[in-house]
Amino acid sequence: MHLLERPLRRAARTRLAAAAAWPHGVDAFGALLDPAWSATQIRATVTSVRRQTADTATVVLRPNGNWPGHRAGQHVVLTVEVDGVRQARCFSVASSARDRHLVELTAKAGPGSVVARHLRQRLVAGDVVDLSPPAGDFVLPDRRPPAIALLSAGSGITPVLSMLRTLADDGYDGDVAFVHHARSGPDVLYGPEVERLVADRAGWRRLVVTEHDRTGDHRGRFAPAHLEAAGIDPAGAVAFACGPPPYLESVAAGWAAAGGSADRFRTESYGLSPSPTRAGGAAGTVRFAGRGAPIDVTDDGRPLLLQAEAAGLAPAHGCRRGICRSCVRPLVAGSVVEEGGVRVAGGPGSTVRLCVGVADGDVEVDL
Amino acid sequence: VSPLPDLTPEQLDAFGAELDGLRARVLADLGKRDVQYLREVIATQRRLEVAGRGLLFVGAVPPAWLAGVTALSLAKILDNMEIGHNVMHGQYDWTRDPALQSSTFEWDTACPADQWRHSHNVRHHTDTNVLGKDRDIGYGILRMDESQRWTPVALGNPLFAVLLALLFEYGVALHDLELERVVTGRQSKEVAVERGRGVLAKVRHQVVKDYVVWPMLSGPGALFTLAGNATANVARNLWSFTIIFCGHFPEGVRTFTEEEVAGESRGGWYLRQLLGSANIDGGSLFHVLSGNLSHQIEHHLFPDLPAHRYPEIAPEVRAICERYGLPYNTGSLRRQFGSVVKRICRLALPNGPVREGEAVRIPAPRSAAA
Repeated sequence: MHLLERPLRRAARTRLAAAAAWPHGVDAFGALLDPAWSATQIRATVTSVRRQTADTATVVLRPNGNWPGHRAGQHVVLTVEVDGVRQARCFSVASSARDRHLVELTAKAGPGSVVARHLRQRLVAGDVVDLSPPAGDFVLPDRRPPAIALLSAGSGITPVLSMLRTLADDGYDGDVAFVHHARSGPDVLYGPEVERLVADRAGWRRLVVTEHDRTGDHRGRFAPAHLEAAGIDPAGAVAFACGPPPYLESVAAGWAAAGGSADRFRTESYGLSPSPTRAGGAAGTVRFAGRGAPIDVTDDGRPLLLQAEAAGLAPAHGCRRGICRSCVRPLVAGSVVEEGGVRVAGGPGSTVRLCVGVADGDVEVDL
Repeated sequence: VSPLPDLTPEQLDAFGAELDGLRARVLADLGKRDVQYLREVIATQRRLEVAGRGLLFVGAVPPAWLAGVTALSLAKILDNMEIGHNVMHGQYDWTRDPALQSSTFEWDTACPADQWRHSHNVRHHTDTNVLGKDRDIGYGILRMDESQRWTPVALGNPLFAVLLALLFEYGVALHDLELERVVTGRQSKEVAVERGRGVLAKVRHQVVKDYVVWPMLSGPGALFTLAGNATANVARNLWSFTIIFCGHFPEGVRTFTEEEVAGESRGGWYLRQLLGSANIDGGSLFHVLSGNLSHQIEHHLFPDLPAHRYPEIAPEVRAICERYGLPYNTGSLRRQFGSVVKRICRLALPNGPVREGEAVRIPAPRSAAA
């Protein structure tokens, strides 16, 4: 199968194959033999799921032949099916950029994180998931600087771990400081592995800071002193920092205070974007996004189609009474109530019928 | 025209609210089971298609040809009915699976998906059985209702019906061009030409696939494959014609005038869907092959609920109808289709004098337990 994989994929991309498999496409039939196979899409088979800490899932995936490989620090969009509904979330790749046949992700399962909870509780080896191509410019430069500081908090460790693993695989002989902040000792991700990686190499070191216990090298939240304790020279090193926005703000401030320049300080932030739903009874804002500049209107409680038309927009529509689905559009953010009190939550892949959808709080619709 | 059932506006609202409630309950319950079901149907469809096309490679052997045609016909029927028709109604939009989105799905038939969504979802499901608006009443070809004016052309009704059945996918494809309205000047020529181009592009794909590529791949057996593919397309046409005509044209199904439906409430819309549709009794395999359109009543009440739920909710719909003294038109395939054939033949001739009682086509409510 592996020998045939590449020629098969090439044959599947021909016009003849497309004509023979019309209208459903070659993948529709390839999936009968191997659900992870595709002529063009990146799909991946789960090879293992482990629970490193009390609220995380570390998933190792074997992508199909369409995976182009990633650069250390990049992220992917992972799509899984939860209760019949496809849910997509963004995760940084934790594995080394040199492992071209493997993708490792670690997700933190917070109370509202549907996907991460699914990964932790229900995903099993053999499941097939969808991946996007890797993206993002939070990456190690091809010309390696002489000193690198890898800074992370919580599950923000994944992209900088990918960098550390890649540097190790490449035999990088420069100076590496790995500083990780966690809530407590049991929450530290990849502890033994990072310890082993830095122990083998001269000029590599690790500093763990825990907020709620004394298991780390230091205790508390990020403080500028941690940079010094890890032997980081902000005047010379290039730093890569990943974590929630408040963490990144304090690291950036500490970096600047210690004489580090902003162009040698790269960050990747994660965490939920602020909820667009407004509390209280005040009328929300309905945002109609599209190709041009978004148009904001104050919600008047009428169906979104009428409000769009009142704003001079002309979305495609059909019956105007919820039957034909001609006016189904992506609901980017916010919450919409359709007829019969059915609530739709915005997000990737979420759609709403404009003609019967009424905004509940601030919403954004992609026209 | 027969009178509408005697419901007060309040009763009509209550009737609508009960059906709204039923819909909301099913929506809240949608999940893994529904996707798994559809994926199974899709996998079966793919396997049947592979088996059918594979068997036709050795179509020179008569049993292989017959088995191949059967498998391919079933594949096309599943593709058009339980998968295509239902996915394009948006019954699986909530799964967010790009392969199951109503806005992008394409099916193995001559009618382009976007045009079908217009003629079917917008026109037929909104203006169901409204004379002059729902063009599914006779597809602009057949005289299917007493109130449609009789002309000598109607004498051809039975012949046209046979032709439409054989070529049903093309009938459906030409449906949205509204050619008869172009002739009378009520449809712009430009729109019809543009839609015609879409149909041609779609037909070309199907012709290339079924009548060029697969026969070519069969080498010496090319003619067997060609004949097999053509037979499967026709078999699918006959089947979908049968199911669809049984959904709206058996005796007892009512049509409506524009005046009757002006300003209708949600409950009124539900009532029209109920009175304008008919079910076909049958086993579970029959329901699947009909795309669950054998539950045409439930489908017209809830066009965007996954169709495999219709058999589950049918008893409840029937009970609601019974409570409001409303008819629930159902019967065996033989009875419903026989009734459709009779109507096609009868309406070939002028109406003639209407005898007392005959114009009232709403049957007395049958007991739901019957």
